[in-house]
Amino acid sequence: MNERIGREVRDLMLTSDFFLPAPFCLLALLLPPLPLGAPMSTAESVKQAYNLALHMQTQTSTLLQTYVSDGPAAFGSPHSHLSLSLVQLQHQSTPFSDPDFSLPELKLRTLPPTAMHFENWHGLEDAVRLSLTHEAFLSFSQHLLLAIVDQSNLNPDNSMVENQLWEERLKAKGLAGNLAGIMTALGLPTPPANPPLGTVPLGNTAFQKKCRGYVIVRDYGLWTDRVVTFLGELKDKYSQ
Amino acid sequence: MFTLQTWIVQALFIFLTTESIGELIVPCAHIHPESSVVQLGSNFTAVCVLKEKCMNDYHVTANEIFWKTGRVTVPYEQYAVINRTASSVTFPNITLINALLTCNIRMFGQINRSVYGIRIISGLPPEKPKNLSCIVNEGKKMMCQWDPGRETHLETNYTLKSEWATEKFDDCKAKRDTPTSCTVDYPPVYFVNIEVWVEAENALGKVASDHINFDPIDKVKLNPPHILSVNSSKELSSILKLTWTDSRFKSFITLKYDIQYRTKDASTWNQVPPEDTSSTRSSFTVQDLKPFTEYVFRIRCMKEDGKGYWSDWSEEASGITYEDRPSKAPSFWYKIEPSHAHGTRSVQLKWKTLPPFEANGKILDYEVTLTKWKSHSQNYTVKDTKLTVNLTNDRYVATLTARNLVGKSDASVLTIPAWDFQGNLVEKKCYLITVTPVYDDGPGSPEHIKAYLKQAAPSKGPTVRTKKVGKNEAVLEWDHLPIDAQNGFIRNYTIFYRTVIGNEIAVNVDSSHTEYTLSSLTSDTLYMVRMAAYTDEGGKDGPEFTFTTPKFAQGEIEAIVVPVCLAFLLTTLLGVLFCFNKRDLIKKHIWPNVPDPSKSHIAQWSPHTPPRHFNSKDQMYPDGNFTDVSVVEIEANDKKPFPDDLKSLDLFKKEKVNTEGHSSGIGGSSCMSSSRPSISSSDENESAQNTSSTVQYSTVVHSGYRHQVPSVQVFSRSESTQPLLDSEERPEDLQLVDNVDGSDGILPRQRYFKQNCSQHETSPDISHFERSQQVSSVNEEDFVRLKQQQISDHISQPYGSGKMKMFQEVPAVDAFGPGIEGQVERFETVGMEAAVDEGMPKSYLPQTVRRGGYMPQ
Repeated sequence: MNERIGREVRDLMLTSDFFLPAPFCLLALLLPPLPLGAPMSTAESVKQAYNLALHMQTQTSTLLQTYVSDGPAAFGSPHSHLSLSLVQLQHQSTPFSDPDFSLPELKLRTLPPTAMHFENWHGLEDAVRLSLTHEAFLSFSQHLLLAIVDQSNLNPDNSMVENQLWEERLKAKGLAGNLAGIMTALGLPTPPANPPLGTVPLGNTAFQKKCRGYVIVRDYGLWTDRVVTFLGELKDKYSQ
Repeated sequence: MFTLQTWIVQALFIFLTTESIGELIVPCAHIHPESSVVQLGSNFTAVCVLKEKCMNDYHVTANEIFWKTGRVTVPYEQYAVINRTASSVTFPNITLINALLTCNIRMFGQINRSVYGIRIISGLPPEKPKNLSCIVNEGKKMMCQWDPGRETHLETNYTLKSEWATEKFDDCKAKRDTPTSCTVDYPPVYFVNIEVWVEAENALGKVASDHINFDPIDKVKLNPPHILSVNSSKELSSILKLTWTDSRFKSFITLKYDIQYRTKDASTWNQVPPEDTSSTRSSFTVQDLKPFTEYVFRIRCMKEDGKGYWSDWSEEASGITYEDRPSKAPSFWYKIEPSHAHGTRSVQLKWKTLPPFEANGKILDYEVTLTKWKSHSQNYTVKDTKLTVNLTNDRYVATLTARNLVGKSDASVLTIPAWDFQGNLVEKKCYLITVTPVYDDGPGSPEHIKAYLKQAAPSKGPTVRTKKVGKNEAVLEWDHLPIDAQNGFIRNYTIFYRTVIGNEIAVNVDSSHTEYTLSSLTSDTLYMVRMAAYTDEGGKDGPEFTFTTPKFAQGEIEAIVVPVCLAFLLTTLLGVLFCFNKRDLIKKHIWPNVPDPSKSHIAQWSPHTPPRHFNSKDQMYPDGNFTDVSVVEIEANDKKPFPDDLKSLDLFKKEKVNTEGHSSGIGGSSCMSSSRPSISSSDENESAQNTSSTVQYSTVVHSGYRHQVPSVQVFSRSESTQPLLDSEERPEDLQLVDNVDGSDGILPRQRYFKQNCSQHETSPDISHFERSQQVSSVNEEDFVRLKQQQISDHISQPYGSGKMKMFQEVPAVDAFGPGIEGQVERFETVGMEAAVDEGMPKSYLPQTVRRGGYMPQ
């Protein structure tokens, strides 16, 4: 795991823009889906993406809870955070581990925006929403890697959060790939280039890193909720 | 590994071939190639090149080189001396080998010395790995395995490669001890298709398997469910409810289950039908189980669509079904012990405990009832399996039931015979003798036999009757003789039957039958039948029975009648169809079409058509549609109507002022009414004449049919009670009105004056009369036909209810005479205008008036 992070981090640090692999990633997206295996219909692609999003959604609440506090019980059961107590080992320590901790006003400029009203979001065309969602989850995969790096530095002895962040990052990338597949299947333009991450704010002190990780995980959850609704609509639309 | 060996070998030879002085010296020779992995079956050639220094030191050339594999010298036939310093050896079609190949030199004094060596290893390039498959155990990482194919005999590396469409994953290198599988190091991401393949590589080659592409969720092997409980039901002793907890995958995939159960002692499992457990659930009630039996359950699960793998079986869990009442009464017997007391005996009743599958629960106690012959009974409740009672020497009936928590078993019954049983056996009585063996552990199954002390012939014969009588056969039936009348074992029956005049025929029937069919009977014949029953000792006839066979078999009459009826029906149907098809012809002959005045097309006449056109008799009725019409004979010689007519004419003249301008249709009616006699009865004519004495004649002007106008002016008697209009007095007007009525259009009035009526202008009154005399019967007939045709056409036109109403109202108009001008006016407006505006310029253009048309009375 550490070796893996190390390599990815090295990749990140190689460029001043912080994210060189993005073009390669996009290059990969530009390539048509591999012709092997039975080609999936649009309905199947959408259904698969929806299932993945749903699966991610069941994990995101625990992810956030795991992030703010540590406890094996919190891993795996969506309701286990209810039983968290202050006696448990606190992962990020106070105030993150406080019950009912939330920082709604805390934003990260580089993260995909979450402020859009549902009406506006819902009013957008499928193609636009697909594109935005695809872009968002690619962006989250980058931010989550940043959070992993931060965690690795902050809590080198505890790999639980790291592992879960890693898994979520993989899912975010997988979802982005599924979305790209849907767009290709629908004959939509190739997914747009993922903008370089740039300098992510809130990164100097340990507390700021914790805050950053918190916001990333929180917004990741919000976007997951959003994509579940969106793909649910698409699924209904294409399964007819 | 073999690289290391080669190195050691080389080091050894370097050591061997160095000068003994101690200085480190280069090897004395070299072998090419240094690499020594050879494909099985190929040819291998090695060349040993001596170094000059060695050659000089040892005074040898390539001729002195010989080769060894291990300790065996390679035959010289395989050598080839290339030049002074080099010699080669060739191994054709190399077999499996892993040996040291050394280059040796032979020196003086037969001293052999190895100068260099390599290890040659034979093997095969890797085959394309086959049957690549992957599995994702829940909570673990993906593991793939494959079939590597043939043995390569070489060290072969297998690398599992995997990628998404958008991402490549790290290679997974198979471990040496498990070269056919590899577990990837990244967590599985479900619902994203992944592509996986395996590459095999050794010193002789590299090959990749086919790529497989799948969604890891379709390769998942879930953790087995965990059985929480197995519960029985008090209500139903045949069910057990199983509850379990599932894999957490059930929150996002649908599961199906496989449940097996067996009784605790059984070794084979019963299967719950898969279709009952084909969706996610957390409990299942297994049915059709035996009561009070311990069952063991196990369960496994997998993805509902069958993609993936079954989970392992869960840990077994057991439960006991609830009790049910004992399903069988216990076996029961007795033992009589002689008693010292007189008149009593000690009877020990014994029974066995029920086996568990019959007890259906824990037997709490047994209930024994002893009933003396024709007396009250005694009850005993016993926990043990025996009961000793003192009984009198009478006959007793004992019953036994076992009881558990749920209920009692059926009772088993045992008769304890009277102690001094001595029957007076009598002849001709049937006795049932029962022998029951009693073993140490209980009674065996009893055997029964029926017996007579002495048999006799039956005391009466069976009564035979018919069950069914057909034309040529009869089914006879009878009852078995009552046991009291049998007097022995009935061995057979004999049936005698005969006709009144015929011989008697006898048929033997087995005693087990109660029915027999007599066949080959004659129809419509009286038969007499009787029956005898025989025992071993003789027979006895029963009463005689007579029956008559019917003349016709059942359904025979129907078989004749039904086809006849059908044929008749068919004929009728065909007749109707024929009539229907030829209805036009029939109609023409029976009720021909009558022209509809409203459909006549007089309006289309050209104003310039010369009158002579209408004179042609041939053109009068070109259609020929109305050929057979009743003939109206107007008796010109009949003087009677004339005064009446004239009178009415006078009356009409007086009323003319009132009616004129109101209804030109009246004028028309006077013309048209000429057709009336042809279709109305004379009674009506009379009544018309009676009600109004003003029966008049007016000039009848044929409007013609379609484009034709009859040339002959017709006088016809008008039966209309309405006074004649001015137009009727003046045939010019009349002509117009007539045509209006008949042809739905305003016609050129002046012209008709000229053509038809001009000569009567001065004396219309007379002309009516005179013309009527002139009318030939043929013309009048034609006219009538014309009118009828016009009327019928008119009526048949679907102008709607208004038209029909008009038609219906016409008689009323007639009946009320001039008093109903309003109505007439309504229908005849165009005609009215024409009649009033006599002096106005006339148009020959056809009018679109559709409501005109005169109706007959």
